[in-house]
Amino acid sequence: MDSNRCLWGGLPSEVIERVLSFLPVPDLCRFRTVCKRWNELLCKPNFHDLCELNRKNAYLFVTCYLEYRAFTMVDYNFKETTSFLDLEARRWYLIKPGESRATRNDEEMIYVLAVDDGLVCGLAPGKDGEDYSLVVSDVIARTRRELPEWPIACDSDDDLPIIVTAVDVSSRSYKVFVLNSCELEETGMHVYESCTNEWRALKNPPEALGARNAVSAVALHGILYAIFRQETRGRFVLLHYNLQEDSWKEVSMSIPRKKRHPQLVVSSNRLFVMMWMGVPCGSCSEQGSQRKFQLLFELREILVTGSGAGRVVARISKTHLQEIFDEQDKNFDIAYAVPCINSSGACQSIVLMSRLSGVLISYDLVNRSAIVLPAHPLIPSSYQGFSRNPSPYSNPLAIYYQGKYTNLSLRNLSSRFLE
Amino acid sequence: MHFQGSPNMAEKRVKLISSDNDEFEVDEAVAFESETLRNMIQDTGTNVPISIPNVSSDILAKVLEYCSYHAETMETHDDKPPITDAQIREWDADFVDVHPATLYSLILAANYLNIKNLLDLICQAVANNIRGKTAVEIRKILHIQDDFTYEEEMEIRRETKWAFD
Repeated sequence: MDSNRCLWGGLPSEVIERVLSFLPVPDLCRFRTVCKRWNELLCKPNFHDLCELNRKNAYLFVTCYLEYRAFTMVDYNFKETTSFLDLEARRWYLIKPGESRATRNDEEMIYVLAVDDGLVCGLAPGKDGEDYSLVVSDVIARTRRELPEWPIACDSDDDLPIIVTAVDVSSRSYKVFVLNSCELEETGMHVYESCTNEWRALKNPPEALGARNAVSAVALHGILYAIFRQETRGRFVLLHYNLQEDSWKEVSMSIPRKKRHPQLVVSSNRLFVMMWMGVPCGSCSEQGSQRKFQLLFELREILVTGSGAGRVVARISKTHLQEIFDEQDKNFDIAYAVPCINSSGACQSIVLMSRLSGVLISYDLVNRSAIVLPAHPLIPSSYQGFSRNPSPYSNPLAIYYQGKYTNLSLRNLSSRFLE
Repeated sequence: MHFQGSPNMAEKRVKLISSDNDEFEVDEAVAFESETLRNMIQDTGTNVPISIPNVSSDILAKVLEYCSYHAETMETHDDKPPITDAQIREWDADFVDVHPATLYSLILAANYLNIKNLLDLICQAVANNIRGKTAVEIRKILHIQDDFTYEEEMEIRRETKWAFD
């Protein structure tokens, strides 16, 4: 054991840094208390640069919605506590109010609408306690900014527009995009930029390309990708937006028309779309009989640098998914899917979340086997279980879960005890 | 003592001398996996044996085993199928499945010899050993002295309290 002591003590700082740069961000926050040398090292900007290069860990933020007849609201517990799963360590973290400067006071509720690189964009009650305002906070660096009054009016949680945050990794400046998601209104789009602290409306709406309301959007390398419902063909269209040129362009990829919206997800700097599609059943194709369709969940990679064509990553039938999740509800749906990319760039497994139960499963694409991930600490064990919270409302008609996937960043970490 | 790297005798061979004065002979391509050796060979040529005063024979043998395997994966043979990424990953995983004390010596050697891929591989293995642990466990595993006062430690904990629950 003594030799261990000598050896570890004898390691140069750059080697210790290299070891630590492979660790998940929550571990690093904890390891600041190991000793002064480690704390100093973990707060250094050039260590953060190294982390940027080596980190592969990713985090899934989860929110629970309660659906009532006339409106939808976020479950009280999920408003009060920001929660995320470290997908690699398979461990949940809960950030409670009053625990970080990210919340203004103990009563404040904020819930996650968008995340990117550790910046959480959420809704918090305004100073008078009535009107909601958008707040951007960094859970690690403990910074918080209330954005100026935002340009879209919304009354309840469910007619919220689609919000996307896009963080510039090195400068930590960010943009917040707001896209109209309401079917009845025109496709307006606004962007907030942290360097000017101002909102501005974008002059060139995507209507020219037949787009109506947005159903999903993500940012990748500073470019916004959004799926819109299309006016004429009733289908979905995937567009990408270049902020500098203020121009939209269609990505040539067909997305089938389905009741459930397709969703975009970014993993390891690659763009994916998850969607349902109907394919004819093999056994039901005899002539004369009605053609039956089987529902397939599909995860497709969109090759953004090439032609924009899609490449199928996974296709799993709804029946098989229901077996895996052991959920027979006819409204069964996948809320979110995260492709897990290994060091050689291959996607060997995906993490899937049930919309109704919030249960998370890691699905191995090679063996077609599933592992249930640790349950969210705030979710009741039975998926029919309604909210146990003191809600002013009666039992909701439905409960559903939604996920957001991001990296965390150590940048701006305060550096106390540094001499 | 001769280290059998690649049987290809047409290439230049390099002689290396470990801290305990054992001599190793490898192909130039194997030695070139190390940035440090590459620079030395380019400066002095392959005629003079290169002494590596801070790496012992058993560790140098391990390092050269890594280098010759990875040099081999770069070669293409008409008669053999190419080594797949999955095979390399499996080999690497076996390679770092050793006693922690050996890992730490390997880190020092890889750092000195500047073999970036090996250094990353070992650092990642060490990181996996300490992942998910508490600060107290880390101090115990790595024999690190706690030099914080109670108040100082509490102050850091308060900043990201969620990470400690």
